[in-house]
Amino acid sequence: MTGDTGLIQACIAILCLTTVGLHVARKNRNEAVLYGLQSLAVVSLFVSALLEHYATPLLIVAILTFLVKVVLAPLFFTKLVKRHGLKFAASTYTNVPETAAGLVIILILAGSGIFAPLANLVPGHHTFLVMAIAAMLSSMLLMINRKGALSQIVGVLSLENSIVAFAVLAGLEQSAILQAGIVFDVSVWLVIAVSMVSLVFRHHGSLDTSKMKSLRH
Amino acid sequence: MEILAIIIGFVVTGILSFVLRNRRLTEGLSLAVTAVGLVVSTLVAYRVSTSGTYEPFSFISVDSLGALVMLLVSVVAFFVALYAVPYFRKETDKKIIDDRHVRQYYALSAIFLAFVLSTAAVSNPVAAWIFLEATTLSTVFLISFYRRSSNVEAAWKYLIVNAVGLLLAFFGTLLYFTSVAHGGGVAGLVHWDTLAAHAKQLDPAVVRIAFIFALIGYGTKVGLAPMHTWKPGAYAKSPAPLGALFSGALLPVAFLILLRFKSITDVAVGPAFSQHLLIGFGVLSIVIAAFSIFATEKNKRLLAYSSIEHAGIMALGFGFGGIGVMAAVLHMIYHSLVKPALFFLTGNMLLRYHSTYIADVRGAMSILPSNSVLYFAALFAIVGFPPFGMFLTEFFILSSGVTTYTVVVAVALLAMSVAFIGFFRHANAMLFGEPPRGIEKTKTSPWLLVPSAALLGITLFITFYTPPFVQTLIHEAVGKI
Repeated sequence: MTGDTGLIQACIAILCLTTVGLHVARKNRNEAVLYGLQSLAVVSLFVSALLEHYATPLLIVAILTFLVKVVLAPLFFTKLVKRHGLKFAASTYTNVPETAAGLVIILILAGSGIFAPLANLVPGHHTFLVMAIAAMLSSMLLMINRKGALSQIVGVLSLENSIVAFAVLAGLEQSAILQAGIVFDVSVWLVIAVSMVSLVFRHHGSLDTSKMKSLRH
Repeated sequence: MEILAIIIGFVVTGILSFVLRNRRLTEGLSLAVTAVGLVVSTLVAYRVSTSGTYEPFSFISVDSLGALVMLLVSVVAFFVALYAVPYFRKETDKKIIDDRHVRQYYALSAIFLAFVLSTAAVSNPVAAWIFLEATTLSTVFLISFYRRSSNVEAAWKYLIVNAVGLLLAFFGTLLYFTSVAHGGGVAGLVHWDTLAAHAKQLDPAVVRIAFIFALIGYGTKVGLAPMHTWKPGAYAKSPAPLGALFSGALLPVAFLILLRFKSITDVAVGPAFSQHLLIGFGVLSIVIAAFSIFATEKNKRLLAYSSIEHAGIMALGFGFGGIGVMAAVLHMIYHSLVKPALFFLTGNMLLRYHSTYIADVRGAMSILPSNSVLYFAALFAIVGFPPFGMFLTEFFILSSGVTTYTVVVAVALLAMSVAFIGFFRHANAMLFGEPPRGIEKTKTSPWLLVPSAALLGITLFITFYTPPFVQTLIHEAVGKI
């Protein structure tokens, strides 16, 4: 994509800031809101890429993506939080300074020579691609670091958002039918993951995955 | 056309199984669709062996390796369907499950098989990824099937680990498209062949990163260490027929996708890069699995670790190259036939002893004599004892790397010996000795034994005589890897 640099900048900044915000958030509801905001940024990025090569099927896919990620997913999470009274997100394995150090290391790693071949895929988007890679790594850290099942789901979806952002910026968006397939997969995954969270809560009385130890016995 | 019909057939069977209340009809449908699937896959495999890649539509492309994997999946699916009928009837009789569970199994397993076959048949890498991801989604609720806390925990682990793995695989997959992308994205459905044809234009540094992500991602689905963590729980907690499908059908399909990316990578950066990575992950898998086999306390976990070990052995074969590739393809075939048999026989033990703990299963030779004899035979096959083919494939895999990678071969051999001893230690404990009080000898339904016996028979048969069309497929597939 070659579109409006200002818009790309804003979208990527929101992607990165929301990823950091997900690490900081202590309430499950805030996580849901942050994820919705992050998805909105990624969908905007996606739509701006579409506007360059306007095609109706791709626009339909963009609308579907918006509905699934920006509307349905946060709604599911909020309902889940209300239903089970899960006000606070489960704790993390590391404390705040350690998490912050982890995020700094991730940023350095994303800008290092290891990922340079990926950041140079589109020379004009070098910084944006570095930030998308940093968002990917940060989402992975979120999944590893958080004990809460809901946070882990948000981590998986945030990783998916970061990959989509990278693909758009690197000009690797797929055809409409494949995009539709990916959105369908994500929405089914979301429904199943939310159902599984309810099952986990019913059987373990908590969403803290570190307390799930029945497999060891 | 036939392939599409059979995939749709599985989807329709899945939907009907949800809707229909008649259990016999559901069982009959499952048997019928898997039998037709077996016939169609055989016909397609024969056609590919005589006329080359089969492409009835632009979105379907079955080459020799794809045809081989589809045939393998269909054979396993048929025998799983045959075993599932008496197995779930016994579980229903014992009030472990009810008709709702049975409907759920038949529906989700049929949809799972539709996705597995689609993954092997589809011509586009992203579509293959979508279908492989869908295999996870269709099986999560089969792992939490018995609705105990441990089942839910295993299902959760399976869902999250596979989701992360497959997202990394997705990222790796997208990076391979840099050779065909033109600014505004990737136009149309890009075939595997197109990617392979453009492989030389790929930036070597990007391909290296792409293959690492693909290997980690699809390797998660294969169950290579250290991404194997979902496997022991998922295998142990799912019903025996699903464990058989995981090891016999899912593992080779995930390997198929991985090998397709390996071929493209090899063209772009030479074979050494992918080979070294496969060897590294392979030997790690063998070592971790071997010690876990030795230490495990549960019989279905034993099979899970064994699958991880064999995935490692296959990775070693593909990594060593030369004759090792041929041996790895054969190893994949033998493993996909033997492991389901072991799952069936372990399932029969579970029905009798009501425990998955090895310590609770004693004197099986006197309680379940026919089952135990078959278990012993399957055990010989899986640890690579002659006359079963795995003896030869393991021998050729290790010998193909012994001169170049002597230390790796030595470590692998040592670990395989540990696994061998561990397996026999557990088998000895389960099959011999004094049966626990209250467990009495009863006749096992022959239908619970026929699928295992047939799979072991087929394994033995193809060790000595491989049908010419299968031989052609194997040779062509090896040439492409």
